Amino acid sequence: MRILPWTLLVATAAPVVAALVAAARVLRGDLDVLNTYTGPGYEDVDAAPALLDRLAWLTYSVGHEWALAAAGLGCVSLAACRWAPRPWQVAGPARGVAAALAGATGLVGLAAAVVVLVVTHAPLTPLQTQLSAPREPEPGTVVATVVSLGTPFSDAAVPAVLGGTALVAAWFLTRREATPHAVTGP
Amino acid sequence: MWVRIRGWRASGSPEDGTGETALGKIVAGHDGSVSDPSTPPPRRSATLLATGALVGAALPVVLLVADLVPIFTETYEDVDLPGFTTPGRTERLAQAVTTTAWSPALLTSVLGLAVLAALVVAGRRVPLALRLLGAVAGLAVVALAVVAAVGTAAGAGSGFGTGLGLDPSSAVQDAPTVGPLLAVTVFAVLTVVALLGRTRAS
Repeated sequence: MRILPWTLLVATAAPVVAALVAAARVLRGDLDVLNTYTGPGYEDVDAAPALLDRLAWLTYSVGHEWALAAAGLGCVSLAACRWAPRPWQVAGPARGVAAALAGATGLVGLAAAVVVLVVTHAPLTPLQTQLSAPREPEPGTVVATVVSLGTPFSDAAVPAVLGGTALVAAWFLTRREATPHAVTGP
Repeated sequence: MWVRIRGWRASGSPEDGTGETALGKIVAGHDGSVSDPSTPPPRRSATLLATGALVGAALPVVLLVADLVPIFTETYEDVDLPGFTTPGRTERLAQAVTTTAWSPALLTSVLGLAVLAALVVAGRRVPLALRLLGAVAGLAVVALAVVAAVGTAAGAGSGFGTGLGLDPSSAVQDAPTVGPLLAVTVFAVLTVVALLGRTRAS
C-alpha cells in the first residue's frame, strides 16, 4: 500500500465529510437549542423551523464553499497523480476509492448548488414570515430596509463549478486507457 | 499543453516522444522507459512556470501575515472607554480567526504549491533554490493552518459568527472550518515532501 496517495485521499475526504456531518446536525435539529432568539420584538415568533428553514441555515452556516474548494483541489491532484511516477502514483485500489470520492464530491457540489437555488427562490416559510413581519422599532434605533439578501446565482455557481471540477477528476480517474506509460519503468 | 510545446522548443528535441498522449509523453520522457533507455532525453526546465507558482504560493501567505500582525501588535493605547481592558492573546486569536480570511489564502497558496510540486514530480528541472523556497512556503502554510485550527477551537462559542442569532450559528462552522484547514495542512506537507524528495535522475 502506497502511503502518499492514501494520505492525499484522506485529506481530500476530510473537508467534505466534516461539512456533511455539520449539515446532518443542522437538518436533524441537533443545534436547535441555539435557535432561540430572545431579541426585543421577537417574543411572538413561535413557528417551528421547516425543512426549508433548516436548508437555508445550512447554506450559509455550513462553510460548504471552502470545503468543496479544498476537496476539489484534492480531487484534481488525485487525478493528476494517476500519471505520476511511483511513490505518488494513484493506482490499484486507491484509484477506485479516489474515483468514488471524486464522484461523491461532485454530487455533493451539485446538490449544494440546487439547495442554494431552491432556498433563495422558494416562497417564505411560516418562520420567515413571522421574522420579517413589520415591528415597532425601539426608540433611538435606525431602521434600514434590506433590499436584497444576496446574489443567489453566483452563490449557486461556486458549488456547481467546484462539483463539476470534481466530476471531471472522477472521469479522469475512471477512464480505462491512459496508465501504460506511468507503470512502465524500473 | 502549452508548457509541453514550449518545453520542446526550449530543449530543441521534439523527437524524443513516442506520439502518445500528452500526459503519457511527459512521464515517458522523464523516466526514459519508452524511448531508448541508453540515451535518456534531457529533463526539460520549468524555471519560469516554477517561479510563477512560487510567487502564487508565497503571496497569499505574505498578505495573510500582513493582515494578522496588526491584530496581535495593536496596543489600544488610544482607547479610552470605562471598563475597557486590553484583549489578551486568546481574544486576539479568536478575533484573528473570525475576521481574517484564512481558508481562501491558505487554499490559494496550496494551489501554487501543488503546481510547483507537480513540476518536480513530473520530472521537470526546477532549480534547488525555488524548491527550497517552496518548501519554506509550505511549512509556513502548515504553521498558519495549525494556528487557525487552534484559534477556531479556542474561539468556538465566543459569540463571534453569524449575526442575527436565529440560526445554528458558529457552532456548525467549526467542523467545516477545521475540515479545510486539516486538508490544507496535509496538502502542504505532501508538497514539501515532493519538493524536498530525491530528484529522480533521468
